Amino acid sequence: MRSAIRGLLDGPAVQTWFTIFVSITVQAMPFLVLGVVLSGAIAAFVPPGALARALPKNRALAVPVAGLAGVALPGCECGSVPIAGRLVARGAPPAAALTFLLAAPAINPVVIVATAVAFPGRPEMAVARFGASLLAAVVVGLIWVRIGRDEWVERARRTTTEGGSRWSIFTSTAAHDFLHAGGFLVVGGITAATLQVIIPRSVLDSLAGSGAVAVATMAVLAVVLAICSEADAFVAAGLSQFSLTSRLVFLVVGPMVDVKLVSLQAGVFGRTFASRFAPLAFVSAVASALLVGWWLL
Amino acid sequence: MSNQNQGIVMAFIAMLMLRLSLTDEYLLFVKAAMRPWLITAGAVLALLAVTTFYRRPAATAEHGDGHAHGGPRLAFLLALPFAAVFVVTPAPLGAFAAARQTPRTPPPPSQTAGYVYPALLPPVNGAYEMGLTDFIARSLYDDKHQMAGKPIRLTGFVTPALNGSGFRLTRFVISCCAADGTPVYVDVRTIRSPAADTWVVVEGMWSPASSGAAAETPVLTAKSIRVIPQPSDPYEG
Repeated sequence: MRSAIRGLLDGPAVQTWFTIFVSITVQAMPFLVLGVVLSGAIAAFVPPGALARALPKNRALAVPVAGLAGVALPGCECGSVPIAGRLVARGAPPAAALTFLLAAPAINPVVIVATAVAFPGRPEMAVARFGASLLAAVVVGLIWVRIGRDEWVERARRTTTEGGSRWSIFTSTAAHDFLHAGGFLVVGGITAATLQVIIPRSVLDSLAGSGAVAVATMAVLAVVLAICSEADAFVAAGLSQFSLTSRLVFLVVGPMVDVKLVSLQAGVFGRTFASRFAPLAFVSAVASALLVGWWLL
Repeated sequence: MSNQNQGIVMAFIAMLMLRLSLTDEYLLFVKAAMRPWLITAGAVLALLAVTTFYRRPAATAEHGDGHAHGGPRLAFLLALPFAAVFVVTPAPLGAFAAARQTPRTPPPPSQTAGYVYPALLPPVNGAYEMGLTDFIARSLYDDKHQMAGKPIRLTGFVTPALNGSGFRLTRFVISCCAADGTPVYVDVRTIRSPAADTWVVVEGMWSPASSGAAAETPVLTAKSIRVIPQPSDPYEG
């Protein structure tokens, strides 16, 4: 019985699926742990209300400030989701926390340096990535100020903190956030691995062509592949059959919207939120990348 | 989910992280530089697992919206990768994955005009060793043809060729984890091709004439092919 199961499971397609699934989960884990540790520290050491006081009173001004603050979180997108959830729970305006969520994985120094290394002799690629990602995040934040409703982020707002010593608040918050995000990370890893095995990348490559088709293909590829923002520039550099602008779209969309990330956001903020936020972020990311690409590349 | 169950789920993922990173198994999934981060994450999760397991139950078990305190049921899925490692024999990306992707062409050197490739490392046991990425880049962009007429030794796995006369010696290049892996390959000319996914060391000659400017895949004419066990780090960085 065991050997029969093994025979079935050791087929090359299952093996490839398994390798990609475990690698996405394992490689995201240190960043998720960093995120929940910082989230625990915020709950334990930042007094309630301090965040709201630290940000500019004017919400439209708080959004770009929160976006720029993303520079301070080195890491990839898995870490920023629990942190943004905790910021909302601690009373930060949702629009500002969401701008931070989108900007941090794309504009932090580790990612920008990786982008510059991946595109040697083309520093404008790193500059364009920084500009387009910050622009897309701020646009989403400003739209959220106008149309966003508090009940859409209810799950994060309602998250309470247990009392007790600082140490106990820290560990219980980190564990709580980890368990909320972790299962969804596994779902995201399963989805990305399945899509990678079902859709041969060579089919997507054949759509390289020109203009709009290439842009649409790269935008979809970013969502489907779910590659960490610290590695995606190297993948984009290898896809040299695509135009530079379409590869910029890939780099701007990937850290904001991908199957694993949407799943994580659903876990931390709820499904109602994710079904509104992901399309908004996707459209804003593509539009910002096209605008900045047309200007700089 | 009770505190005990939450602790157990986190213990599973902590054990997975530590098991992979304290052996060489992690190299099948992520690149070598990730190791300290995997160990740290495993240790932090083990600590959280223990503190959660022994925490007294909270006074209020449910929030108003019925969302269970401490984690949704979905958190049980975190035990899945741990279970999977025991059921499926872990293996690196191989011929199946390589055949589904467009191979990567290494980028040209950053200073395009007048770039001189560094001299080849001294030969080991009568042949010059290098990675597939380095070999392909030199065959495409080294105007001085330093590799011409020299015995070259390359290591990789076998992907069947599209036409008969040999196989594709293949390696995956990863930047972070296997999900971003893209294959590179060299066409090996030989009359005897090992089975797909066999790891081999090939010694042979590269001649600039054999790969014209049009052909981007360089060709190595094999003198000897030796089957080897899968290396502990199957990817090129």
